[in-house]
Amino acid sequence: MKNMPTQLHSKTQVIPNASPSISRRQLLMGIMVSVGATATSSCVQRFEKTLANSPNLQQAGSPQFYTDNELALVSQLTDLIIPETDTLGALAAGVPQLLDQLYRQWGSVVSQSLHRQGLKNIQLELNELTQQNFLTAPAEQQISALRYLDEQAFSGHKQQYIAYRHLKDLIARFYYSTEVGATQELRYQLVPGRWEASILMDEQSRTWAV
Amino acid sequence: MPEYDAIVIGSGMSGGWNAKELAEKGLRVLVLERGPKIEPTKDYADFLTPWQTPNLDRIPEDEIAKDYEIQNRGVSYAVKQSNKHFWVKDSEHPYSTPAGKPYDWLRGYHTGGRSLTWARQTYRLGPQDFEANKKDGHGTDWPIRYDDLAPWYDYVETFAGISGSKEGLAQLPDSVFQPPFELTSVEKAFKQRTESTYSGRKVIPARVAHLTQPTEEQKALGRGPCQVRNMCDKGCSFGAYFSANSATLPAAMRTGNCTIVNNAIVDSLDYDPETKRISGVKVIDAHSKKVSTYTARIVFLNASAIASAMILLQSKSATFPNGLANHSDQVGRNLMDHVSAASANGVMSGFDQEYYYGRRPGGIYIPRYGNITEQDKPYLRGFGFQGRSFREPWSGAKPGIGEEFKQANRQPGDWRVSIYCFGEILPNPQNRVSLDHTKTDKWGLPLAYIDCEMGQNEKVMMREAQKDAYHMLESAGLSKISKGPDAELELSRPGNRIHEMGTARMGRDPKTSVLNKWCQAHDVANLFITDGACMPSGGCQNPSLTYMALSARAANYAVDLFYQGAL
Repeated sequence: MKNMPTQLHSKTQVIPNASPSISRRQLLMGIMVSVGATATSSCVQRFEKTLANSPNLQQAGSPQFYTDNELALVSQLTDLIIPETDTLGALAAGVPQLLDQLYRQWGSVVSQSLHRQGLKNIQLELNELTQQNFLTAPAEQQISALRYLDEQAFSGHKQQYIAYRHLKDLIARFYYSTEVGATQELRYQLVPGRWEASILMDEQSRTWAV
Repeated sequence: MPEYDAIVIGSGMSGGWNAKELAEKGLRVLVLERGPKIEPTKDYADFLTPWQTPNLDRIPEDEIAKDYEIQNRGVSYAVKQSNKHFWVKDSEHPYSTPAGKPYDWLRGYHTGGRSLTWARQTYRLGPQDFEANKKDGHGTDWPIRYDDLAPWYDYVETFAGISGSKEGLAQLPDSVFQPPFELTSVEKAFKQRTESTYSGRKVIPARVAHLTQPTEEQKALGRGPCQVRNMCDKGCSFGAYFSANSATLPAAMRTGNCTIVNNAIVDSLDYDPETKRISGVKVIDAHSKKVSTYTARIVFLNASAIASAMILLQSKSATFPNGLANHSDQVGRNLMDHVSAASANGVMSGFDQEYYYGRRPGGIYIPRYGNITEQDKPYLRGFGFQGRSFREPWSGAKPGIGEEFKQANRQPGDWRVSIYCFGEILPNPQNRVSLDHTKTDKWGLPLAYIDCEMGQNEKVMMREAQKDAYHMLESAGLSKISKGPDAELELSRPGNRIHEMGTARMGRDPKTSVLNKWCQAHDVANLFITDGACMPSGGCQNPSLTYMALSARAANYAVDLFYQGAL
């Protein structure tokens, strides 16, 4: 198994305009404790680096749709799929809260129920792969299990892993639609102002977020 | 003494033109719009970033089920939380269809109508389109030919602002153009390869109603150049794409001769058998439901093809028991749209070092070649392809987790060329809108009963178009082609292309058509209809430009009659 990049467990970084929230930290700590996690894991550190000035996030507020366990799972998957590297990851960008808001405000009862069931299936699968509670498994085992699940989901077992693929799709959509995802990880121009049909790529060139 | 010289019913693509032309020529004009005002500062959402649109800009699912089921089914890519006020609530504006024959009636009720949400693709009809009905016997002959409309195309294009390239194609005449959006290197390669393989086919820059070099006239209306944001579905604060809101209505209003009344739902047109004219327009206020009648010497009906037909059918009198101006029994018949189904995209290699800057509002166009430069096709008439090239964007639907997943999305993916067919639908009198005799809306007006389906020619045409799409991409060296030549096709639902046409067609014979060559009702001298209803056939080109030209032509004819005292 290929090792995860070391950046996952992570250095701290000064984020302009970020205002770490004690209540949010306490919230996540509480969740981790409630599911049996003991460490003040790096997950918490990244969680509190959330870009609190993001307009969507301000509106999203504290998670209300997810149970503590669901939030812990979504937070962990969010962090493992799009971790902090030289830019913030999806956890710090607030993707779990945005997902919570989506299902609270957008999802019908049917979609909510499918999503909960999907999360349950994902966790069962990951528990089986790690032979323990995935959420409290050592980081290396979490990564290894998720990597296996991901490979399965993208190699001809699409239907069987539809819940995972759907969640991953949403995590990516939300991350690349946040300010950090769009403007720091990728690039974004609100008003391009002109059309250039051909620009040369260089090593710094990045995908347009939109 | 009438209160106004002219009443224009509908403020959208064609109504805006009539308001402008009539008001600029000195007539006192009343525009009746059934929906609310649009205020750009409040109603346009074109400056929102992705992180300012909660929930990925999705409308809540329960709300879609309740209010936007059909609009969302039809154009989910354009019906969003931030612009849902540009679309009708299906719950408030129902219509009925026969079992098993669904129809997508996709629309917005507000000042500017669908000119605010159109796709802005802008093509002239060619000489062949005005001759098609006569040639193959479907529909009735157009009472005009290309040369009759050509100067009016020039006229409206100069005002509206169309970007495009001069190509000299007989079947797709050039417009008065502002500079085109340049093709990408991949599109240039696709063009070169396709044109060398197929001598009768061309790949050209899409022609779009976007300002790329605004004229003084356009600037004076507060319009500016396209900022290449591709936020057009949300309205345009720069007025860079043509809409009634950005162009024709401001021009009408600055004359001081034009009044717009909003929330004014037209119930019916009163007919005076003595004068053989429309004597009044009966209106229901959308909120108070108060009924009033406006009078004018001339009435232009521009409510859109289905709604204009409905207004005529609702206007019954002793002279016209089957609906106003309907001695021919053609009102509501020959409902057309365009048909899609054929499409394909594929990967072009060799351009990995290139990318683009900006979000161009159009891409490429492959003008019709079937039964033009290539003969012996198993279908009548033809189709064109819209398309574009792009590099595959970031995606959650790719394998990998962690840093490698981020890195994979940091770089754009393969270059793809995508083409998408729009074909002509034959006029067929059985495709029809009529009054639902059992159901009414909340204003007590009968629902439209829309009975429309695709015909055999459309099916055969799309089958052939799919083969063509595949082979064009294959012969241009593309790989990973998304849809094969024999791929199963699902034809677009009637109405889904949002090009309703034909329900009050022009023609030479009052027995078989509703309007004469000036879009004036054969049976009622002071009634003109210049929305999609007037079209005897639809070509395969996006039709708005033709509505504009027909409107300006008809309005100027009506002005002449007005000053001659004939109306």
